[in-house]
Amino acid sequence: MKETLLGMNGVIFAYLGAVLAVVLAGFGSAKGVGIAGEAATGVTAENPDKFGQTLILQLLPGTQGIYGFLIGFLVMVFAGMMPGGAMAMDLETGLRVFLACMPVGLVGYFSGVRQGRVSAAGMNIVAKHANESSKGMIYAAMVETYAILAFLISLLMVLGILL
Amino acid sequence: MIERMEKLSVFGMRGDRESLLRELMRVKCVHMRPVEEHGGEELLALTEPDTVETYALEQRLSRYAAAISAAGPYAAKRGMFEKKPRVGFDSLEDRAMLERAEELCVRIERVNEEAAGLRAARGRNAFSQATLRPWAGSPLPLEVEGTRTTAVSYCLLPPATDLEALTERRIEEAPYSTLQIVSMDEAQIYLLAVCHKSNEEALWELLKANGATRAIFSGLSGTPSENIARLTREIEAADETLKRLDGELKETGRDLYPLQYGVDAITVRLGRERAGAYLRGTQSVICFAGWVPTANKAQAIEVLERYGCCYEFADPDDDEEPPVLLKNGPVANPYEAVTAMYSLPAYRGIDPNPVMSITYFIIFGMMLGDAGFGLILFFGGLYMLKKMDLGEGAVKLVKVITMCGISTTIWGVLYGSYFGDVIPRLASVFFGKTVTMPVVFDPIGDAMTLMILCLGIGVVHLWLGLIIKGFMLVKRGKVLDALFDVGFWLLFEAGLLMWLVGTILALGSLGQIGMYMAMAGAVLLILTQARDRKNPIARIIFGIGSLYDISGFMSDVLSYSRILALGLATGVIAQVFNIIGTLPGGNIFGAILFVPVFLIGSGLNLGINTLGSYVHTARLHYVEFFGKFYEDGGRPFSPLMAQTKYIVVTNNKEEQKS
Repeated sequence: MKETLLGMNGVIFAYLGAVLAVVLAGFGSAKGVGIAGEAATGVTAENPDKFGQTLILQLLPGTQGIYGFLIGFLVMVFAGMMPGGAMAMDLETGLRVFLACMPVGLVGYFSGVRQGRVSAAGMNIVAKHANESSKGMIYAAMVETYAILAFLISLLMVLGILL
Repeated sequence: MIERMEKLSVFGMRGDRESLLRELMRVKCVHMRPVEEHGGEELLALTEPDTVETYALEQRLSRYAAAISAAGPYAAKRGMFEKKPRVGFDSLEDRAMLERAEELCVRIERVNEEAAGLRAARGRNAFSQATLRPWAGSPLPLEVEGTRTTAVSYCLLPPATDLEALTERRIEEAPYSTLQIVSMDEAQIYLLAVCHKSNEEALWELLKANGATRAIFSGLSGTPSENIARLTREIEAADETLKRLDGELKETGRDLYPLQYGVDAITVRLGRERAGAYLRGTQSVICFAGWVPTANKAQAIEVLERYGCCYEFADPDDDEEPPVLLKNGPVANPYEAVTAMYSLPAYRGIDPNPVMSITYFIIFGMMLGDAGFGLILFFGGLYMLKKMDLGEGAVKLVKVITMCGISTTIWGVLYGSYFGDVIPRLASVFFGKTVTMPVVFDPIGDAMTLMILCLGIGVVHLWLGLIIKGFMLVKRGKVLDALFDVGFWLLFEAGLLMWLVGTILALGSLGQIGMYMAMAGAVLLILTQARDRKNPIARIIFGIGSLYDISGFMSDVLSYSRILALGLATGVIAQVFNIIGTLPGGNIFGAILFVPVFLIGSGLNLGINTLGSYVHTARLHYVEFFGKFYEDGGRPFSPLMAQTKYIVVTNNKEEQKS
């Protein structure tokens, strides 16, 4: 029993990891960008000139999705999921890849949503004091810190396992 | 550097009020302040605050602004790379131009008013037409109310009425009557009721019992269809006129320059009027107070002498907080925009921009780190600066990005990243050759080295902050505070780092020295950190507690790992797009797919990572670096000057756009 389990192709876990990194972080960003976008629409409806500023604020919670996508993509490339790649991996490696994908997926989800809310609140600054809108950007970037840290750990782990 | 300010108080003749204020606006070096703040009980008792009349100007300004926004959609758009018209300071009150502005405004207002009236009338007509339309089939002229013996009326019934039952009862109760259905829709049944006058009451009794209401067409004559046709003609005529008015607006609105000039000229005049609120005076004398940068004193004096004013300059008192004007060389000056976004330094604080011009430059470049993107930022920035009329703040920001383009290029070369790995990839996919770019730090292959470099830069950055704090304390004569709060911390932190590095790399002596430095630093900190406490035991306990601040130092340093993460993100995103673009391989389809994927991908990557690098470099400065020393809260120096939106005011007499 033990031997069969360890002899199993672990690439399925690498797939699972890549999928969750992309999906969870993508959910987070989609939610965050969505929340910020709703607020941005309100501001722009009042004053169409603010489109550029609100767009930048809306964009900020979008990075989590990109980080998740990057991790998923790197796993695909290095674990041979691209066309023509070799697909074999022992169970342990597969599980390690899976775990390495978790930080960016989970932190990406929660920080994406939270950052979206901060961005949405930052739209108030754009509406009331247009030339202070960078301050709203900084507040949103504070939340992003943790997505960046999670991305860094996921990235170093994936590179460490697969390179 | 933070400019030195001097306070100014002036007495002048009331007759010179307007021209004096105008000339001060021209030299842009006096920041007005209330005379009350400047002090002098006797002066305040002798003088009255000036009355300021701004209502008429504000009224005019809002009329012009409304006219501009009404005709705005038709105005010839100023291209993004087209400069604003230049107007000399002395041409700001050109009477002919102001008359043209007024004339244009009146014309637009007249067109607007006429169009508004027409639109209202057209709406009323369309409404009456809609109410008449169901009666179109009625043959009788609407003014006919009956004959000598008969009565004619119009009646509306709910659609659910049982008409057969109604007819039966009508024959019973009002036999000398007839009801003709003119039309029906889902809301009403439209009936023409004709009856003998003796039956009228009974008929309406019955109709009302069925929920009927009477339709009244007072003032209309002719049949309904004649009326509908007349209204159609009127609506068409209104539409025609509206179209003509729209064309007129389009014609008038093409060149709004006189109005824009008017808005700016009036805004400037309004600014001068509002400055009058800082004035006090008697019937023949005015007085006011302000701040003047020492460097610009001569310009202010020249104006004051010309008007024979009596004036006095003085240094600010210790409890006074003068406004802050930053003055830096061409390299450090743009970073003022980044600092100002956080908050200006306090007048007696320190201007971080000279240091930031180095640290912001380096860290931004590390975060973006791609030679291709760096060159795009650099040349794109140069182009924008040359071709666009950006506001003062935007110019600085673009300059920051342009400079950081240089740094990005340098780091890109060090990382071996030119639009990611586009060169090696194209070489291998299309030409089957293996090209390796020269690399100093490989962010993907050897992330640990770069991580250590990032944290190292973090340590240096944080220590720079501490050293600035020490420098500030020494300048204020608090040498001991500088030694205790800066020197001992540096000793402690440096010792800990040496100890750590020495142990990891097994460099025995370095580790040993570090250990002793850290221990010495710790003891000295314990003895000095709580020096404001009288009780020696409390002093030691709180001193030990203060060592806990080292955790703050550690988390600050680790925060710099984001430099690596963002640097990696740029490179990896670029690689992803390059991989996707070359998926079909080295054939013609590959080449066709590659170009759009590369262009769009690089555009997205550049946009999102430039924004990320800008924001996160700013964060490292605001939170980690400023946290060490920065004293914020300065009020910006905002001198009396011409503030304009559509035109650029120049000081020399230039030709004015006709």
